Amino acid sequence: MTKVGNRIPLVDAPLKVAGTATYAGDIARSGMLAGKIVRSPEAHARILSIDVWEAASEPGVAAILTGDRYPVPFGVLPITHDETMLAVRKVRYRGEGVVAIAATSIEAAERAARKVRVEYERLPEYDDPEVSAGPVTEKIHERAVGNTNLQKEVQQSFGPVDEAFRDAAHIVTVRGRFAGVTHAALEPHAVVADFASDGRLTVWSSTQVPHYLHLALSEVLGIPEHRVRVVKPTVGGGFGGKGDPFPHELVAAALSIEAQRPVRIVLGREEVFYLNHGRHPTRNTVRIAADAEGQLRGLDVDALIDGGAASSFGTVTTYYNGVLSVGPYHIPAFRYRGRRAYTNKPPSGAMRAHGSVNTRYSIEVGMDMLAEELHVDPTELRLRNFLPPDTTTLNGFRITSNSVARCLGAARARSEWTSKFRALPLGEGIGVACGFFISGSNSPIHFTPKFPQSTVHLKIDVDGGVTVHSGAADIGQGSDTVLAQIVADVLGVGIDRVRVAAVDTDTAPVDLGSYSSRVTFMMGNAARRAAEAMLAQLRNAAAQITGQPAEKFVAAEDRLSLPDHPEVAVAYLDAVHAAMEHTGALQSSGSYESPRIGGDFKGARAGTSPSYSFAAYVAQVKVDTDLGRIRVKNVWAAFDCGRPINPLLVEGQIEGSIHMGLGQLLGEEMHYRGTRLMNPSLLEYRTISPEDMPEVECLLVGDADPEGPFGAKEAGEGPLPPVLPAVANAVYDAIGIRFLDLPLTPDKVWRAIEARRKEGGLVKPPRPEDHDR
Amino acid sequence: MIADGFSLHQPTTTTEAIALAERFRGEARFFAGGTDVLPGLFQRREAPKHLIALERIGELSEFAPDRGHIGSMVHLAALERDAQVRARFTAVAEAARRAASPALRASGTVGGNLLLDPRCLFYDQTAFWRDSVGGCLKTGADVCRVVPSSSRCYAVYCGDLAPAFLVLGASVVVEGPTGRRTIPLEDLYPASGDGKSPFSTGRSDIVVAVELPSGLKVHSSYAKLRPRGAPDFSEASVAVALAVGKQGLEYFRVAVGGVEPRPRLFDELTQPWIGRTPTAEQVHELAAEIVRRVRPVANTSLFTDYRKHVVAHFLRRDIHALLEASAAH
Repeated sequence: MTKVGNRIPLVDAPLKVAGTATYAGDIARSGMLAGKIVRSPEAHARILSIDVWEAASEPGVAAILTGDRYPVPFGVLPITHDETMLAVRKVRYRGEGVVAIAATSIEAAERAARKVRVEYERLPEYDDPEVSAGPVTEKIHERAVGNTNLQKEVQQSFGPVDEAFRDAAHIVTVRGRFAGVTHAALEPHAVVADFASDGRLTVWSSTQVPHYLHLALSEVLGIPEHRVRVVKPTVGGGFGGKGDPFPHELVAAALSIEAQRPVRIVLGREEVFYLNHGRHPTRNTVRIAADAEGQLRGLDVDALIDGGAASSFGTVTTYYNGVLSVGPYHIPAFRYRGRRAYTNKPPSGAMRAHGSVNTRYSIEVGMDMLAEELHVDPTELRLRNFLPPDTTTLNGFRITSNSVARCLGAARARSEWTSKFRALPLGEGIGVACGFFISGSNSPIHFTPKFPQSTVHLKIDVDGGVTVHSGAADIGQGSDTVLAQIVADVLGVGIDRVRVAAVDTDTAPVDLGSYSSRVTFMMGNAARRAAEAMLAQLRNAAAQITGQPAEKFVAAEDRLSLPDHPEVAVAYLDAVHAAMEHTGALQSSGSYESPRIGGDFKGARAGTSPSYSFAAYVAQVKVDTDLGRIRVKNVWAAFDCGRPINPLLVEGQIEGSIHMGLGQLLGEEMHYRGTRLMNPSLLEYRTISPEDMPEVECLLVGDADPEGPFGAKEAGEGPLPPVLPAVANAVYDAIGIRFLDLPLTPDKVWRAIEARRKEGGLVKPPRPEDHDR
Repeated sequence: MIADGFSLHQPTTTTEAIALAERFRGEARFFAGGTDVLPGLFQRREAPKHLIALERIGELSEFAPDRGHIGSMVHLAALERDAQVRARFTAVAEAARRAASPALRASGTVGGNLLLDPRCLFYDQTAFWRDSVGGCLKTGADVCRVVPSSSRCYAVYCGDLAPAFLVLGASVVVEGPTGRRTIPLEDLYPASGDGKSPFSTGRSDIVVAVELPSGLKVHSSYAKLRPRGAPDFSEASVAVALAVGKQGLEYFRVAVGGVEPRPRLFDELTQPWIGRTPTAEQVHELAAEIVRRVRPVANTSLFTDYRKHVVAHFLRRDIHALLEASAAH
């Protein structure tokens, strides 16, 4: 039977493997037009004129749009609406849409696109966030701070920071530089919009946030929300890259309104790179203060992040670069300055382990440096400083379940850490890093907190099938499977009976979407409650049939029975039919609302979550010192996601996170020369190949979380951040060089090795016990 | 979308194919496995009105490694797997194995790989991207975006097979409007080394086959630098072939690819070693001299000093290894 905790393959796997799943780009409507967006070749320029005369006379062209038609700004955060569906008066990054065309075929649309003439007047281009942070001659957005191009500045201070650094026995400082990276989901973004003659708009889109898209469509196009419907078909990966409402989605809808016909837009891979909204290029400085015994006394973080040409999730990112530093270690004093600058590059936004990866790297490398200064084993230093379970951080995060110490113990044991650390031959090394991540953002982005963050409806009719209506977006991570598993488990039926109808905003209750690793926790709780409400109806029916007390019935294996008298049993379908007498199809509802958490200072809600995941990773590497190539051989990934609902999917998330994290560490880079993106293709933008993947051993360590559904917490993002510093620390163990400028491409590594050789030789760092005292 | 539209021709003989190419001169393109031509069409690096597929010309798929004959339509995957090629022409099998990825090797061909269009960060981009830069020498503009003072295109020849075939003394059979000719493979790549016109063949010429000397008994190797384990193009390649006899080296050739607009043999530096055996220091010096003669520019993703270092490293490592293997043989 389908039990929570079992390894169940994805419910949609057969369709995906057979190639028959329906993605947005597969959707075809009668009379459908093809949409094409003409993009700016300039990075920052005033639009002097747009001439679409010749394009409009191209055969097959049905509609042409420019930015002034729907100039209403939008954005995922209500406080920073600074994107428009097409550029209005000026362009802010190369690749921004300027004109949109709908035609009877994509060929016709592209022919017309080549006939559009746009006259630009170049403006100063900003490619360096440092420059954007100072006084500028041309503001990218009017809303930027003062006479700068800063989008957001955050300053926070908790506890006696100055004293901590003044009295510290040890202070380490890490200055990290991180290239921007992007999601590189397999499926490019695609959308079909149909503004029908009844005045209702339907949009099928490859999105993680159907309800935020719903709102944006209504606001920008001026159509009441109740006449807008968003449908999320199968999505081929998101990783945050489909987590905003996007210009092409609004453009498709606007073109459909103009042409009075359905319109489909499928982005090419290069366009996906210009859409970006990926991880911010970042410079950070992390200072850690500790006493002579290695107890952390203070943490000081400064981050300057390159936001590109729009806000997107950037205000949240700016906070996350700081506030997600307050675990998994006990930090008695904490200061943070975060700045996010606009530049004339494709916008940065949210990407898996949003806002936490780069700071985590610098902190974990810093912990390694601190251990070395203290002459202690870095795993020992971490053990001395972990937060306990059931505590509150100094900035008000409520920590409940927390098995980080057990995670570290497990990773240390499985990796045979003690016999390897500082003991492998030159060129080979082992390293450790830890992490933690939110299990859902406690504060909803758009909706007033009095509404639940997730609601699930169930319906059972005479066929006995359970239809689950949910607004949670399965983007490949498997939330539909988790949903089906929970419902099937509670009702005691096989997973085959469960039909997940997600997502259609006409029928699905609001769920905020797939971001901030919130779905299993929030939707899972809502689903469990909905299923329990349904089970109550079936128990009542069983009670009526048998005359036994309803609450005594347990549901399993397609029947309701009494545990003490298994012969007293009612078949599932009989219970359904009995319950339906005189009422018809059964319905139930369940919802989840997160508890009130956090202080009442500015920004206090950023990073608050009903629970947190924890992680401890050990990585082993071999560095080819002739070629500068880092070969990651093993990762022992110990992860506390509470009690996993589906370990198979959790392992998939861990392995996928390691693949993505190693990509950022070893080779992925949004490679800019000035504002120009040099590698907008999956050949030159280098996610690591299967040949470069290490052996990964997933160690699922954790206690049931008190508030998670069946004790579960998130596993979608927290598994990513520790792998980068674990490998960097292993590289240090192998060759004694600290790398603080990502990605660690072989040419860069080789240069550092050569420089070290010239300085006096490449040697292993000393063991803690071998230091002169 | 690929292009505004083109006609696909599927001739069954080379004569027919060449006649088609002549008939549609300037508007036609031969098409083998498609792994290089198709991206070019997607990116609008060219827009031929006629594609002439070579797959139905049976002769081009002839594969007889026992007599050193490899038809131009033989797939890289076949070369990689063939036991005879692996044993006798090891460098070729290794080069095939390191090309692209399994899926691409299943359709990529020998001829297509030999005639791989030289690559550059400023050229292998979409029309939108190239137009936003303003074009380059290779697309008809009058400036090189990498070396602005240059009148010569620096696009890099990245084919994997050529260096391997070169060190084994391969010839190619070429057929054109005036008939068939057999030329040394090095003559396929003009010494001028211009990435804009990298091949000596004309637009109506077909590479029919590669011929390897059948009596050749050498040890050979191929090494490739690429940013990832797969599927990247070469950023520096080294092929070595040698045989050691009683009087020292009886055969010694090295070739370097992936750094310049043409793959290059360094016979002028290796031939003087025939009859002698270099010491470790002499191999070191030979590698250094070769590296002094290659001039990569910053038009790929890895640093040029690193690429030169890797060329020297591969040369030293592989010459040593082959000297040992050959002496032990």
